[in-house]
Amino acid sequence: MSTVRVPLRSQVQIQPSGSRPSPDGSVACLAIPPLRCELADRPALAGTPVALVDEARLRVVEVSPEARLHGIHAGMKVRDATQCCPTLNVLEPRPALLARAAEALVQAMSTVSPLVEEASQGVVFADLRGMEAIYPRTEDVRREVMAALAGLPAGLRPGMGVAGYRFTALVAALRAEAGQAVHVPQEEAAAFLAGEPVSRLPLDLLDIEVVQRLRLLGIERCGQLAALPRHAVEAQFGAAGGVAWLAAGGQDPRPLRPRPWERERVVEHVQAEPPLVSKEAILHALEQMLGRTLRHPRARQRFVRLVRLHAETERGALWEREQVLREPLGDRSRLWTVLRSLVEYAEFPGPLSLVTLELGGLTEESGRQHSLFVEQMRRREQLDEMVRHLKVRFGQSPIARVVEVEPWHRLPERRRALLEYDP
Amino acid sequence: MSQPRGLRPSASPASRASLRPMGLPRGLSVRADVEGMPVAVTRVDPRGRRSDREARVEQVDEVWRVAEAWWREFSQARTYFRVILEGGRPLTCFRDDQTGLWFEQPYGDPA
Repeated sequence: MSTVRVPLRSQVQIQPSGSRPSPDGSVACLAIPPLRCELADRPALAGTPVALVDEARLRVVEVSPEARLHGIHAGMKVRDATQCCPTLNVLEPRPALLARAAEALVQAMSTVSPLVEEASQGVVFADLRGMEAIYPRTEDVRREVMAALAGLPAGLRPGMGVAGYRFTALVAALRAEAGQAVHVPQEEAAAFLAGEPVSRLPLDLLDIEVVQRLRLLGIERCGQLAALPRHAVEAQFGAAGGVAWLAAGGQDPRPLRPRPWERERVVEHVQAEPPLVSKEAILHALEQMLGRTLRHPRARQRFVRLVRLHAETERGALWEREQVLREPLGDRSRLWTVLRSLVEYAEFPGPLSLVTLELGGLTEESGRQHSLFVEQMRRREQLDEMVRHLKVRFGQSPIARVVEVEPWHRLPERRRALLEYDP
Repeated sequence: MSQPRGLRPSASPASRASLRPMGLPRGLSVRADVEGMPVAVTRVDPRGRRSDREARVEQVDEVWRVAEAWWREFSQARTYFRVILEGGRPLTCFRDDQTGLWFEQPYGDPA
């Protein structure tokens, strides 16, 4: 039996595991830090200074506690980091590894809530509002989710956070030990977050340059940011700064954006052995997958609004494209045109070992009702064009419209008139 | 060919060109009996010439009067006749009670 533990960096007393946050803002978060994911199959690096860098290999994304002791922090240039610590182990990201783990998190969260959002790779939120009758305690949610993650390697087991708002839940999940849950009551959220570095705030709110500016101003912790007047933060960093200020104070206003329900999408995978190198081979594989997805009972007689392609290379690099269709399509040839153009213009990061095709946003329609008005519009345009042509030729419009003038009149010639049609 | 009284062209040529009345009466040459009932009709062209052979009226189905805006200068007073011509062809015509001229005009029910 796991219990909610007290966070290390604050003196906040966390509620016992029997209670749940108020139903007006109940968010659960599962988070696997990318570095933990990378270290899961590299046990030899445990206890050494390690830095995970971005895909461009320019900046540090995440560091181990041992690297932090050398003054290395997220956002630092890789060149500077290696100068600070010559024995630093620099790891390149393998997004495919994290994506697979993230998918497992999504599936696990789906067992406790129908509203699940994959905010970023390795960070998954679930809206728990309305689930109190089924899972009255945080411990019930944790047990259900962790049971669904039982198949995940021990090094990839995430921590879980439960709070009133998403940023608080995220920080709680990152502080939680693997397999454990931390629950932060709303009234204690601000104190809970006070010691958190501002770099923890999501990059869509504060990018690295903004975080560095804050550091230059001596603002390194969320508590310091939240202590500033909101208007001052917004004046410097705009609307996103205002949202960051709210998040740092434990009132992140960003709502959850749940992914479409499972029944509204069909996913097909192809594992290639040997990996697919040429675009022709990829297209052949994709054509087969498209046929299979359209034959799927869930997709039969329905239209598709969204196409998503996902590919992984042998070395764990990831390639993804998503195309929202201009209008729902059910026709295989038109869908194939969309997919083919996605692949033909793609630059893959290497030979592909796994290709995934997702047809999403499936509609309820099984046919298409053409609009009478669209047809009328087309005819009207043709008529207008013809009348303009005749007017040029004959000097006046030969077409007239019948208009009612005084339809009630007793003299017939007063009732209706011909009005020259002049487009 | 003259027009029934009260039908006046529009004020400006432009509006006259853009709005043209429908169902204008067409001239008709009618022989009538002493009571003013039509006996035979002949269509005339816009120039006033007979454009058809005379057709005998076999039956007068209906007669009604229309007096419109009698209190104004351009008042209208018409007597309509719905008749059956020889051969069974129906025709609606009227006599302008102020000029005595005859016209052919379909008369549907006012909307």
